Amino acid sequence: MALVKYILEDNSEVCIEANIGQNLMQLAVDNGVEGIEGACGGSCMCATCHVQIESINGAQIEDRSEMEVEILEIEFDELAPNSRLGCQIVISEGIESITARIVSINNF
Amino acid sequence: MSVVIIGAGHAGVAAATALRKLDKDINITLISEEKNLPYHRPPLSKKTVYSEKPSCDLLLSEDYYIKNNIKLTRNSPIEDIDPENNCINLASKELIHYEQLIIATGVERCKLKMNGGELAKTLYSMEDAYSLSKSISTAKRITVIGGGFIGCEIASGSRKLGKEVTLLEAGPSILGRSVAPIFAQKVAKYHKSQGINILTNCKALSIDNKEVKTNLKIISTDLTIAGIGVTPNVRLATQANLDVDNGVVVNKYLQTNNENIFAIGDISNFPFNSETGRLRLESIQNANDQAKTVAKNVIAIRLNKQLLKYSPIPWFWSDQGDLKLQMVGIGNLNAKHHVLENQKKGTLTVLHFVNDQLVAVDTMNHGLNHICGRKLLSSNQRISIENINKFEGNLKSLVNHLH
Repeated sequence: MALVKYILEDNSEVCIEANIGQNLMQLAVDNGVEGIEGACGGSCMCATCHVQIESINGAQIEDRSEMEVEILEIEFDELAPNSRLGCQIVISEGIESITARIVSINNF
Repeated sequence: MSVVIIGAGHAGVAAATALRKLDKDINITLISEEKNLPYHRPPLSKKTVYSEKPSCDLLLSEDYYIKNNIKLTRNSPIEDIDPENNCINLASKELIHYEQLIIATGVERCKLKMNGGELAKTLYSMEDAYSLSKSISTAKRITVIGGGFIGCEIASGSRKLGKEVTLLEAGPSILGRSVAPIFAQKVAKYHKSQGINILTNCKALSIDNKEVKTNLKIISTDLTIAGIGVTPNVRLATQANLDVDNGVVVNKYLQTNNENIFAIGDISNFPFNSETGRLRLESIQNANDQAKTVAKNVIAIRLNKQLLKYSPIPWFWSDQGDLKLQMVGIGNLNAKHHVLENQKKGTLTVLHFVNDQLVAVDTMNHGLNHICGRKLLSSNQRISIENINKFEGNLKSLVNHLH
């Protein structure tokens, strides 16, 4: 169990308890968090679940894959080092809490 | 105030969630024939059927429907729609009233019409996927009939498990109706390199438990799977006197000929543009984007406001072995194709131009160019071959230049 804090675009905050194995996109969609869409169901191709990770406590998350970087890169001339696709961030054992800021980049 | 949605696939569920986000008080009823909670369909042919312990990805947790006061009625076959009295008759004899109705009944798979056609397995629902995963795990030789996206996904997924796979395509090329010919050739070349036996211009004639007879040869097989397309599920719409022609005919606002009834998702036949005319798309993008449009239009009707036009940038994807295929836009037979290839990286991008204007982009293992393609097509600017050449085929530079 980990605590995920989403910071919405209006700077309000939503805290949700996440189980191991859940990802930040599905968790947000399941809980109706504004700004995360996950149109492709987590296939790393629609860029509708963009977050910036502000802090992590406990274990670390996996690094960005090449494909994830490619998709994120197009949105920024200089990619923020903490920019991620929520669908690629899976809650693993040891993670105590994550704070993720929602930055919806583009709804196409 | 009540809105009823028939069908709890991607489109129906997305419409319910979009409506709820727009209006906290509206009554939303989502009627599903299926027993299961609504689930993601794309993984069925991309992942589920190759798994020893298949599981399915829910669209939303059960909690979501309860918390958001969306009445999800599962396992509820519908007798008919009564448009004169604005109500729906369930097979259970229950009656459900609506003010606005959204039909999202999707498609059903086509069955093979030939001797033994019923022996061929098909894949559409979660139940199909669970059953098919068992059949695939025990088969050694698998024959797939139909070289469209589903057929190619099943063939490549089965091949990855080490099965002997034969893929039959009645036309001259796999993916012949969907992507540029050069793109389809590269996909076919990849599948052949992985050991899939592709037979084109090959029509299955009859099937039994041991073999498939075709116009070319007889193929020994343990399992035959048909992926020969789908047909829109229009029974309810037809009974309700809605215009039906390759799906349910809707206007640019996704309204049927009955202004209180909308049709979205795979079933919706909508006007796209003057070049292409009408389209019926079977994709997640279309389901989600139509759902958002319909939700806004349902609210707009109530408030007597201007309705929103559905004008999509269509995109979809297919996972085949190690290939990630991503397509955006709608090409046509008159399109000229411009190829960007990096053989070393194994990437391919095919740009489709009609009247020297970019209309579609097919990419293989190139997520960046796919996203760029979506940006270019949604930029409302005319992109010509000259534009592409000026940036030496670097789509990202072109996108940045346009911004």
